[in-house]
Parts: sequence; C-alpha cells; structure tokens
Amino acid sequence: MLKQQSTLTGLSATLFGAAVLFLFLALYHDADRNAPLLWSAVLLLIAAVVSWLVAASAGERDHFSD
Amino acid sequence: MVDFVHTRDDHSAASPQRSEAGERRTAAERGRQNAPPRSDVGTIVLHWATALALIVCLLTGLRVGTFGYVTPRFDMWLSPILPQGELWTWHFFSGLGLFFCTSAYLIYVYRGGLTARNTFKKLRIMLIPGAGKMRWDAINVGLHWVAYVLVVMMTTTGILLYLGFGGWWVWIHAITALVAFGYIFLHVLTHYLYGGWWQLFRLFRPAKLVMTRAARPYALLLGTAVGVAMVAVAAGIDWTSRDTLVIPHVNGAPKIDGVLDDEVWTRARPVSVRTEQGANLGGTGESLVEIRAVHDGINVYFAFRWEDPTRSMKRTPLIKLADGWHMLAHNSDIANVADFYEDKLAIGFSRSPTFGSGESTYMGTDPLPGMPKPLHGMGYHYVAEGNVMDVWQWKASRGGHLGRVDDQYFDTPREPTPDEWAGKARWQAGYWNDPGRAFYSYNYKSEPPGGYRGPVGIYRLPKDWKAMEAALGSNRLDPNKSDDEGAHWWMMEEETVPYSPEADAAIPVGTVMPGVLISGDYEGDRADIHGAAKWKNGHWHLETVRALRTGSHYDQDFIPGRDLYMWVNVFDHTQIRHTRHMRGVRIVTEP
Repeated sequence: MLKQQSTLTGLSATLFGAAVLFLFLALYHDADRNAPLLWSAVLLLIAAVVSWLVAASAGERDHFSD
Repeated sequence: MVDFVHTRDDHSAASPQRSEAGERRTAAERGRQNAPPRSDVGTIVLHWATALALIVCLLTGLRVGTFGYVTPRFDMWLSPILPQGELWTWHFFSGLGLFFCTSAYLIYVYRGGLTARNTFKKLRIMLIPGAGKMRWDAINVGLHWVAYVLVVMMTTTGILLYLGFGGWWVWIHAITALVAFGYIFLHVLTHYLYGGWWQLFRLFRPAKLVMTRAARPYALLLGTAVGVAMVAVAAGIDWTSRDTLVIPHVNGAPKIDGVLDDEVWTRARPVSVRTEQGANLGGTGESLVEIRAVHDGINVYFAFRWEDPTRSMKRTPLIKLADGWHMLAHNSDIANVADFYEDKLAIGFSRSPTFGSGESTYMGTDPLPGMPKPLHGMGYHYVAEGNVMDVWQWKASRGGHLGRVDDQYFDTPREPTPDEWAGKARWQAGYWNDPGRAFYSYNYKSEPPGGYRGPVGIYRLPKDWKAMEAALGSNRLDPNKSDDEGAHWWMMEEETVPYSPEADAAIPVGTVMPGVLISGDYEGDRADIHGAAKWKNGHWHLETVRALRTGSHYDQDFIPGRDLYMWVNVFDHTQIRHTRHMRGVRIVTEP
C-alpha cells in the first residue's frame, strides 16, 4: 500500500505540475484562444485533487493494515 | 497563505490515539515516524488553490498597475514577465478564487481542529534564546498572520476599487499587493529554513487529516461547500445590485443645450456611477458620473453630469518660439498626453456585460503579437468577432462645443496601413471611427515616437493672430487651471490661411495657437450623434441625441426587450488616461 501511495503522490504532483503549466500557458497565451488551455488546466487540477485525496486514503489504509 | 506546518500530520505517531496504542507500535510505524513529513490533504488542496489564485491575481494586477499611478515604473520594469491581453477577467476571477480559499480555509481549520497550528502563543518562542528550529516555526506562524492580513486588505480594497472608489484605496491595494509579492519568496525561504527541502515537498505529499477530539468530520468537504457558497453569494450580490438605467418613452424632447433643466429629465431616474484612477481630477483620479436617458420613439436622449474640477479646452496647442512652432503638450508622440489636452467623456455600449468593459480592454506592451505595438505601451481596445462596442466620445474642443459627439467603435483589430506597420502612425487595433468624416483635423504634421521635441510643421496660420489669441481666453499656459467660459481652443478654416514664412513672420514669438482645425461638417455614420455641453461649478453637463436605431454595423440600437450595457470614462485633460468603470450599467429601453 505504501508503494501505491507513493505512486499516487507522484501522479498527483505530475498532474498538478501539468495543470500549473497549462494555467500559465493560458494566462500568457493569446487571450482570444486560451479557452482550451484553460479548460485543460481546470481538468488537470481536478484530477490532481482527486489523486491527492486517493493518495491520502491509501496512506490511511496502509496504517490499518500493519 | 495557508499554513502547512501541522505537527500532527508531521509526526503522525504522536497523535493521542497512537500514544495510547504506543506499545503496539510496529517497526513499520516507527519507520514512518522518521519518514519525511506529510501534510493533510485539505491543507495541500487549499494551499495550492490559494497560491495559484494569489499568483494570478498579482501578475494580472501588476499589469494593471503599469498604467496606474502608484508604482508604474516598477510595474513596467516587470512588464517582460507579466501576462498581456484581456486580464480584467483573470484578475476578478482569481480574486474570487482567493475569496473562495479564504472562506474554505477558515471552515477547514475550525472544522478540522487545526486552530492550534497558528496560535499566537507560538510567537513567544521567538523571544526564547536558543530556540533553534522552533524559532523558525514561530516566524512562520507570524508570517502566516501577515499573509491573512494582506489577503483581507487586498480583498477589501479590491472590492472598493471594483465599486469605483479610488484615491487612497488604490494606494493601499497596490502597496499591499507588492508586499504580498515579496511575501511569497519570504514564505518559501522561512519554511525552507525551518525544515529544509522536505518541509517544502510535504505540500505534495498528502496524508489524511488526523481526527482528534477537536476535529469534526468532512472538514474539507464542508469548507469547499462554504467557499463555493460564499463566492456564489458574492457574485449574486454583484450581479443583482448592478445599476440599471431605464430609458422611458416620453412625449417631447429635451432642448440640447447642455443645461439639464428640461422638464423631461425629471421623468428619468438617474444612475450614478463611480469611476476612478483617471489622470488629474484634482489628484484623486475619481469622478462621479450621473446619467439620465429618455426616448421619444425616434431618438434617444442622454444627459450626463460628471465631476471635473477644471474646464480644459486646450488640445495639443502650439507656441511660437524663436526657432518656430513647438508643441506645448508632452508625450504627444506616444499618444499619452496628460497636460495640454481637452476634457472628454467616452460612453461605450455593448451587448456583453462581461469584465473589462465587455472584454474590450487588452493590456500590455505587445498584446497582439505580430501586429504593431501600442505607442504608449499600455495596450489596445478591441473585441472578439460579433461583440462590437459602440463608442460615443464627446471631445471638448473637437466639436464638443459645436454640437458634435464623435461616433466611434471597438471591433476586431483592423489591418494596419504601411505607415502604421512602420511605426510612423498610430495603429489603434480595434478602436476606430465610424465610416464617414469628422470636421476636425490637426494643425501640425504628425511625428513618430521620439518626435515633437523641436519645431513642428504647421499647416495653417490665423488670419488675425490677435483675434485668435483673444478667443483663447485668459489662461493660455496653465493646463491645470480652468479655461474661460467661451474660450475657443480651435480655429475655423475660414479664420486661417495656409502656412507661409511671410504670414508666419507677422506673428510674434510667444504666441499660442490652437492645435485643432475645424472645416466642413461631419458626414456618414460618424455624424449620428449631436450634443451640447456646459461646465459649471466643477461639473460638466452634456446632453446628447441619436436615433434609436441607426442600422449601422458600428452602432448599437436601443431596442425594447434587448438589453445593452454601458460604460462611462472621464478624461480630465488627458488623451488616454481615463477613469475606470468596472461594473457596466444595464440599459433597459421601454417600449
């Protein structure tokens, strides 16, 4: 389970990093054409949050499994 | 902003439950205790939401500050790393995001039993000699409180600015934002000094919130729900409290003379709009604009009354020196005059109620890459396809006292001319005049950026320079002093002769001459609006008339059942640095 938590932590950090990248691309991109970038950033942020929540739960399950 | 020093999740085995079960602690648990720290998932989510909202808010706000008055040079120095484009929407939405985070975090901390993490008692540790690492913990707690105060100040002053209050609120908002900008770096540094890299990395390493006796379930869920509800309430209050200007159908038209004493105006409910951060205006940058409107089934009539401490009529006048005629105004070459310039009022009508005056304001030194850059480095007005904004601009000396209001528009950016590509002429992206012609022109030859430093080329000279100077009134050289009533800071073509060295030689050095020439009349779409204005007791009074429907692509028609949104901007003897109006006024035309 620790391995699973570690994987999820890495995944969420990657998703978050990608979301930040897309968000700033949208912010610095031509304002008329940034909607796809912005939506991508929002979806990635939601995925990162879900991943963080699952990672935290995985850690809890690991505690009780000892 | 969000505190992520949480000892319970930092050393999870030290929790009460685990202490009671200490004898059952396994080797695995001890291993975890020594492992790098983690943060509870709620803190991680809210921390990063706050960080992103704050950074977007600051970056967009710094861009807005490049054409403000608090630290414009510093903001312009940062310009290469600041975003460009339609940033008002980003700024307001990130501000709302910050409001969400603040609300959610408050609930999360209380619900999660985490209030101890930022208790003031920790600050005492700073006074204890040799406290070591714990001193950095105390410093971090102190800094968190600084952040909370900064966010509250930025939010409060931001709301005031949004409502149209200027003056000191602008300064407080801008300075607080700059302190917050510096805080980010300090925040990272002090947490690093507290716990090294793992203290920073813990913000990516989630753990479940430890349930103590003080904690209640669903802290993050409820915090998020409350945050969303707070944002929804704030947005709802904003939308439902926006001003609505109802245009009633009346019998009889007002006399268009700039005197708002017509009986018909008593039947129009006025709307007052606070505008702020304009140039001059007695140093406050603020101007309250009162608006009334009626229609008679054929024409729509508006009455505007706005604060302006001076009657300013001089629009880039010229003075004769020993070596020739010189421009009195500064920054005319970059279209950014804020001294020898006429007063103006701009009124924009759009079908779109969105931020940034119906998404028509694009900020930056190069907001349209690949197109000519704005001469003044501040940005452009244009709109997306199908979102035309009808712009009426009353100009005190360019027809504003001769019965005319200029009919202009914001549309998609126009293809530049060769001179505009070459930077010799000012390209204005999507901000242009309606088709047709105006009766004003300029009495000097256009010069590119860097120009107007020496003698300028002149087209025409007055036939009678003494009569011309007499018409200017008593104030010729002070742009901050009111001009006389009836002062003419323009020349009719018939009062002039073409420039010649002989005619010029007859005019003495020191003579001041208007920069505006009037010839012929308005024609075409551009001639749609008539008006008259008078300045009295620190206020301009303007009455306008236009057909309800013009059918022009560049105009907005006033149609019952089809709402419009209006923005007003006051120019106090400034070319472009008008006041800001954030919340568009809804216009309802009655049948």
